[in-house]
Amino acid sequence: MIDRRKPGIILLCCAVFFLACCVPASAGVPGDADGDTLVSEGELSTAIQGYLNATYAGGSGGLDRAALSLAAHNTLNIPYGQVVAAVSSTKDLLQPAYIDAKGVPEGSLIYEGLVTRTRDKDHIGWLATSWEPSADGMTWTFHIPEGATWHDGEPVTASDVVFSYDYLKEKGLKNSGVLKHVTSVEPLDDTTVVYYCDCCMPLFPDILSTGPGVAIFPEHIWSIIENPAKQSDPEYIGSGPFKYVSSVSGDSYKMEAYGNYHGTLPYVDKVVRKLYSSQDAQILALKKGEVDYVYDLAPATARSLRGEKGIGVTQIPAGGKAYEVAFTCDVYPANITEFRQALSHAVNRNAMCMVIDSSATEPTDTVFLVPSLAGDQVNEDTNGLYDCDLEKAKTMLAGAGFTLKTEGGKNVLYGPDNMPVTITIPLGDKASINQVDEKIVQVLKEDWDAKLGIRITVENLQADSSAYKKRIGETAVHFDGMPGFFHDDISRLDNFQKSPRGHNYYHFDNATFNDLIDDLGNTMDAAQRQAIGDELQMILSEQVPCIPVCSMDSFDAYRSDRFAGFDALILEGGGDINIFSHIKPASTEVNR
Amino acid sequence: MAFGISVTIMFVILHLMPGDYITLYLEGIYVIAPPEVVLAYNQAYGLDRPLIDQYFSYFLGVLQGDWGYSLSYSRPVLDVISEKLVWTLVILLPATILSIIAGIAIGAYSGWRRGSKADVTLLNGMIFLRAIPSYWLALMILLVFAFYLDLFPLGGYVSLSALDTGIDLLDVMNHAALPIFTLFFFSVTGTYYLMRNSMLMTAGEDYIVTARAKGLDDMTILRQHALKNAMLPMVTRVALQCAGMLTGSIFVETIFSWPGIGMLTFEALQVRDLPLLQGILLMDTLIVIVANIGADMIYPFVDPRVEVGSDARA
Amino acid sequence: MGDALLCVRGLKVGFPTVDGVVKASNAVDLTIQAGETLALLGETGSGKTVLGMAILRLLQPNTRIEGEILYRGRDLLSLPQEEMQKIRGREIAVVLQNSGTSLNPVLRVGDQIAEAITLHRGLKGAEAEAAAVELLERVRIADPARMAREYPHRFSGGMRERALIALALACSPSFLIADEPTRGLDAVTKHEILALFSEINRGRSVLFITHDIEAAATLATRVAVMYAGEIVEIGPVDAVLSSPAHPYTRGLLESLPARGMRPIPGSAPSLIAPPSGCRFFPRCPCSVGRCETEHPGLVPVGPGHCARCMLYD
Repeated sequence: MIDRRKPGIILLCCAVFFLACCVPASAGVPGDADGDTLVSEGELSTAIQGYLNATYAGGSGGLDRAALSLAAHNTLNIPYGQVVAAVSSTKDLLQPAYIDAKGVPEGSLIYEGLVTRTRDKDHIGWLATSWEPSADGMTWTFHIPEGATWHDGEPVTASDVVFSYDYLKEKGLKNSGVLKHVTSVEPLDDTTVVYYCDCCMPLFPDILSTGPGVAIFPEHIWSIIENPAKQSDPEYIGSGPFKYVSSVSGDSYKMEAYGNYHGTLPYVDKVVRKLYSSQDAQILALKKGEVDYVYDLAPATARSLRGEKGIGVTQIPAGGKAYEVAFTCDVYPANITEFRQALSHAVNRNAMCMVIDSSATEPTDTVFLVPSLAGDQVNEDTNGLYDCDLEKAKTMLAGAGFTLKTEGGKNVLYGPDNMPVTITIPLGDKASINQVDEKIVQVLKEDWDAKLGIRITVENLQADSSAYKKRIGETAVHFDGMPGFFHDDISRLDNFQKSPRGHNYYHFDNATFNDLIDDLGNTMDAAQRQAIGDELQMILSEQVPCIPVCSMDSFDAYRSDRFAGFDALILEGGGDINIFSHIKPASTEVNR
Repeated sequence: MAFGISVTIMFVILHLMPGDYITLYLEGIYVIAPPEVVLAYNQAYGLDRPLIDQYFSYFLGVLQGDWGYSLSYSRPVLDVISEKLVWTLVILLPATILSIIAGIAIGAYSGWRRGSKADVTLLNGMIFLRAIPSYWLALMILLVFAFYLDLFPLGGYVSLSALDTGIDLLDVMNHAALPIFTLFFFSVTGTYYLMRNSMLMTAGEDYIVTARAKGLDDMTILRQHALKNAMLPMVTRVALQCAGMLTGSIFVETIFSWPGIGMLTFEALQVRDLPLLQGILLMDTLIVIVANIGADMIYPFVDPRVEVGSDARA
Repeated sequence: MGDALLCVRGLKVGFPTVDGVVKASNAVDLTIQAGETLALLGETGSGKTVLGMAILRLLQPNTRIEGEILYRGRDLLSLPQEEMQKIRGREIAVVLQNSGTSLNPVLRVGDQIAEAITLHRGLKGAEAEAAAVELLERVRIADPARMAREYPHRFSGGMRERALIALALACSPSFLIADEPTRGLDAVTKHEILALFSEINRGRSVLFITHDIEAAATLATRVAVMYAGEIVEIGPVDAVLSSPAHPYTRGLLESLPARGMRPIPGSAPSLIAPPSGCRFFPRCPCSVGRCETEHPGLVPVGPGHCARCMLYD
């Protein structure tokens, strides 16, 4: 039994749903009297009595027949109704390419990995019920439940897990790169499987589950598929909570709850994912009731949906990207540590957040990790070190051999070489709707150019183009915007390590730091890891390879009049993957 | 011949691009592409062979209908394209035909009655229509007809019931109505302008005076004498329009979630599926060529002055 | 003049342009008797064609027309459109200038003629076609049945001219306007066409617009000379050509190759702001003082022979 609820959130939900339940039944789960979105047997009895009384008395005090039936479904956990989720690209419609990439379609609920990950970084069992590492972290043992079956009824065994790994390796699928430190996978018995690695893998569950992870697929189907790039399983036989029903190419596909699922059976019976390629169409479809769930909304769009009847909006802290002003630490003048330190006091985060979208951004006060994701892994001592103080920045620049002169009413900063300091910033974010980079530059220009006398020129390049990638290695300053979850764990700090493959994004090369990252990779003990993490963050705070700016929130919206549980799940951290198996139908209308 | 040249140009451009495209493609998936995966990919797609070798096998392949393999679809490019092309044509053909008929009819009338109230109204209406940004227009059509009036679905080419009962022709038509309508609006103005201009020229021709001197009434002259002549320049235009709308439908397909060539192009660009993009461009070229040949074949039928094979005789 | 077929009175035609109104015809009076051929002579731009077109109301809709055009006593200028359509082609037909562009290039020649026959004579399909072939034969086109099925681009210049004549004759009109039918034709073809016209002329009134004096001499019974939108001399063909009264007519005749080819000095005046007084005086070899200020009227200089010149005032 999987239980990840935290008391605080439950209380919050109770409050919300208690209020909701005062009004008609459609606003909460029918039959749910205490507002916890669960219908207990007691509540069901009450509902039945209410129904009977209402029926005999001819009044309207109880639930109607359909609502009562829904309450019973929720109590007995018999899947009911259909949820429609919008997707914005055909690649989310079981496109075969992802068979090539990951073995089986990612992001579906049809296939499972061994473990999955919640938003607050807990790893929870998915196909596996439990797991344990060896003391040296090089051997990981996973237990899969007895009686788990594939959607065609065949039992799921340890040999399927072994096969999945071997298949990835043998066919050279993209995911095999993720498992490059695994030397072999052996079954111990039918329900136990062991991964042997060639080094310490303290975060092995994370590797298995990130993005969304390495799926396990059935040997009896895939062993006959010679070339996964050209063939696949048209039935999509997996072991997940939902089984594949049908699809319309380029438009939608449908799954239904798998009755023999080894874990908790979902509350909704059918999940449909349908393509709406423009966000405007998605929003209209949500308002019209054609879809029940849309995700990755632009902040302005989400704002416009707030207060809309029957629609709930969830703001996920740091669910979007987190941005940094990044230095290239071997390019003048960013190669001068004092220069970087000085400029760390010349980044006006609050102003930047204002310009970007103050209701959807949070200034980052740490050196890299985002507190709402990394929690107590953040080294508190390094917080707030980069306060915005231009006078301080000027003093520090003067101390580092830079001279600020006023020429013709304009400030000009002269470097130690007695030449005016100029910085070119390549921008690659032109195409995005928010153009965050551009807005950050606006603010930077105001401070750096006008007040500190650093001449800034902007170079617009196509994002992700090789020209852009080349330029960021040649210019002293560039921007760094990575998904929030790259800022969630101290292990992410390896971002700053000079790796054997070459430079990192910052051309940052600090021997102590590099060694500490190696140590971190070989440390299993949580307290020890934290100690290393604190030290790493301290080094970053002194060396300043990048100046964090802010993290952006992301937004989802759903039909709150039809389903309960979206909000709690998203915020609590079920992760995208688990949403559909945990939401509950709240209205008989979902039985379309 | 022209097709062979475009195949070559396409191949050269693809291989002139900085960096190899497999690495670029994989970098969209990984932060840094693992070398072993790049190697595996290069082998799988035959990219480790000498360039000239690749060129010839590509060229021959194209001629034999093997247009390469889509990286993101893991299917033959031609397969993917032809599937999407069908859907594009479902909205493109009716929209084009409608816009041609309407554009020609309205344009002819407008040009014939030059300066009249009807002409001025039509002309200004068309200028207005032309000036509306296409993205906005598509969105407004969606908003008004699919959302507020609720006459049509908001997107896709089938409704959800197709998941259970299969694709139903009526349902598809219902879904296609708005995209067709929008595409029609996009292209009708162009046809109208050209037809009106062409009609203005024709109306001043001597044979129109001859027709009038015969005692024919105005509308008969328009129908019997002016229309056919004014339509001659339209043949080329219409042929090119068919080809141009293929990529011009990107907006419409994106807003109406119509899984055709436009959306395919958009997605191929996003994930940098270069073999697929190359295939789409080739298909575009092919359609332009075919459309031009088509126009050349139609010409002798509409204009007696053009004769098939007249060069050979001269 | 009791049996005047067509009577033009005080016809003024003006084309509005951005620079001002082009006065292409200024108070023209003209009478054509039944059965006579009147040749309208003049240089390019003198308003001959405009006069011809004005009679059939084939000028552009924004043209300003004043005066009267009486055809069998009815004023064509005030007829409703439908009535006018019944007159065009049936009563009054025209052979347009520019034979090269006056036939519709995408319709078969036979069909173009048959169209008029169907419209006015009520013949349908094969009958109309047969009539068209007959007409083509009458204008001496070889192999008329085959040529009727051809498109205009297969016709030579002379053949097109003949086809246009056939078209004009389709409904045996009582009045024919022929606008420069010999223009651009080689000498042999020209003579053939003229011969054709002299055949057509019989029993029919013809307004023969031309700048070709020889052609006029061959065909016409009377001649009117136009200059800058005015008729400057009118009279029997022999009288006008042998003893021209107006200096302009004299100049025209002297510019003929046979008579020394001496061109009239100067160039035709602007029709937007024509010279005051006599329109010809800036170029006139015998102008007197009042020519500049006074506008001469048409005065008789012989039997049925009038000229617009101060010399005879």
